[in-house]
Amino acid sequence: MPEGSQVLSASAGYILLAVFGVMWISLGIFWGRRAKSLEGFMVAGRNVGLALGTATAVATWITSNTTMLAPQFALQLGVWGMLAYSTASFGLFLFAPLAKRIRQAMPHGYTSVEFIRLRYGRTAYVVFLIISLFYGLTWMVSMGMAGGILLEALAGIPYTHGMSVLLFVCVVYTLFGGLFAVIGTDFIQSVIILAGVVAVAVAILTRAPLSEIHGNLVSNRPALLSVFFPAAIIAVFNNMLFGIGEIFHSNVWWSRAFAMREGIGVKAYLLAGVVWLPIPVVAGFLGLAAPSVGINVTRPDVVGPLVAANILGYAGSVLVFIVVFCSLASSIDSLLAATSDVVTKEVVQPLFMPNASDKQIRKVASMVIVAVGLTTWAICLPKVGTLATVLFFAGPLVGSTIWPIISGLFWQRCNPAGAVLAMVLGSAVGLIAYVQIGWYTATLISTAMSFLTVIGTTLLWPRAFDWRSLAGGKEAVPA
Amino acid sequence: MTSVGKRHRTSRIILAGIAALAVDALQTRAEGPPYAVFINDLTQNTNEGHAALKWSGDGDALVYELQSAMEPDFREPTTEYRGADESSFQSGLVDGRYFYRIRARRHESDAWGPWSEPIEVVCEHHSLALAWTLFASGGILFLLIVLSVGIGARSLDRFEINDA
Repeated sequence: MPEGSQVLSASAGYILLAVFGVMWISLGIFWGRRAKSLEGFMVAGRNVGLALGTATAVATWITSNTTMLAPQFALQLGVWGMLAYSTASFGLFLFAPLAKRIRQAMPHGYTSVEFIRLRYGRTAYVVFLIISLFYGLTWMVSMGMAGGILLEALAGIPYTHGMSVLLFVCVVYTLFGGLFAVIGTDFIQSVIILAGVVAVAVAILTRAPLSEIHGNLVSNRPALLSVFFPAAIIAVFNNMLFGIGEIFHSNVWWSRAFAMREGIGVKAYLLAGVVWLPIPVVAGFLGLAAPSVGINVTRPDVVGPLVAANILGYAGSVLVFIVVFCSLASSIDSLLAATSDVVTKEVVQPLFMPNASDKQIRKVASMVIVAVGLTTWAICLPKVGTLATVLFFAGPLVGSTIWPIISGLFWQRCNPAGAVLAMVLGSAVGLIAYVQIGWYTATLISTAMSFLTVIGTTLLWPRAFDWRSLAGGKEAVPA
Repeated sequence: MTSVGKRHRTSRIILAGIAALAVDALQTRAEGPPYAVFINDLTQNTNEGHAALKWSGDGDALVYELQSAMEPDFREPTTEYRGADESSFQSGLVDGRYFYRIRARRHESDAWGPWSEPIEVVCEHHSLALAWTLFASGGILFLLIVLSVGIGARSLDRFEINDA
């Protein structure tokens, strides 16, 4: 972006960055006092209530992808795209019953990878671990990039500086406070995000009338209003399945299920879905408003913040800056904590420290948070691709895990070999679709392939499973 | 004067002439209207109705004008953008051929440089048959997930009894 086209000055951007950075780190340290034990650090003492549980689910799911990708969806795929993005809330709705089942089946569990290892054995564990880590890193990279791009677009802060500061702040407060700090900051962040989104929506509707926006789209971008927009039609269920796959498999959501008090998970995830549902519609509206505002969109992934800042002026830019900064931090911290749990509990401990004490594991978890943060930073540096291309590359991989998770939690006779095949074949076919047709087909095709494989192998080679081995930490016979 | 001395003087005169011409050319170039060129491939295909255009000009602080047309000769051009940005994202295109061209002027000058060679964007959306087939497949998959989770959730009491 050329110098001088930003709404905020760089110094204003740095001041906002400093104020919120110091605030999150201070709060992280404050809440981190309770994270002395391993259980406190990793699953917040398994005692999170409804308010915090709902807030952390909402804040984590409102990511840079909601505030920046939803407008991009609307700009590229029109009204369908905007609605397609909001379907990601179904992931939260459907995870509600899963959260109850997870808590019930594994009362002492820590991670989603642990579930796969116990339910399906070593081969499935390796495949799932690769998918899980790849997705976690992809999501985190897309958010690190989003932070850098946003700060550059709004305030002219160089991409590298903005991205580095954002990651640094999140690493530091997660390091001190673990899941306690993540959930605590999520609560404040979700309040700020929701208030900010409502304010932006009201302000924009008063300054850019719907009739004007509609008229401009009809004459200049007719495809964005078309019901028969092929890529957008395909994207609807693809995005919904991507959202379901993300939530069903990711340890970000499993760790919250483990962290919530008995009986809280169902209500918290249902409520979070209801609160989250309208947010992509509001954010997506910014993408549709772009042509009538007269902004030249230089890259589609910054259209939302740019339109909001342009319409609302300086105060609006500050508001957008704060909202997006909160949405980024609330997701990056969750991913750092969840990825660190997986690497620590499922890779480092079994391979290198099988007899380590909780205190030693707690130290390793901290080191892993720093390592994950550094890796993310290194991948973010070259700024490869747009946010959508970065994130949706993981779509087919997470789509392939939906059916192994559902069948693993609820079906007693599903086959471990079938779960492995479902993930491998689903990912492979989905990636081919990604390259051959487009990103907006990849998750759908991957999920379909995974479903057929799980159903087929379960019917052909049913294999009984003793549910008690999940609670007892006893591993399944290898596939 | 020796012949060697004459040759040296002649060489100096020729070199001075070349240098003067070069300086003159550079000055003309610096003061004249700037060029602008696309740095994308000059032909782009899209199934999704959008195109990312990128360009650059020969100088700093340039103002660009981006025009589009449905015909290669730009009989009825539309100005898409005028300003300092060096890229533009065009979306919402329906099936068809779109042509874009760019030109530049210096910030303090009114003289526009020549139009660039145009970019051709060919938009051909996926077939609706493919789109609705995948939409229906997605709908069925979604229903199956809802059913499986719903039935599984209703069985939670059974799990609880078994676990006990």
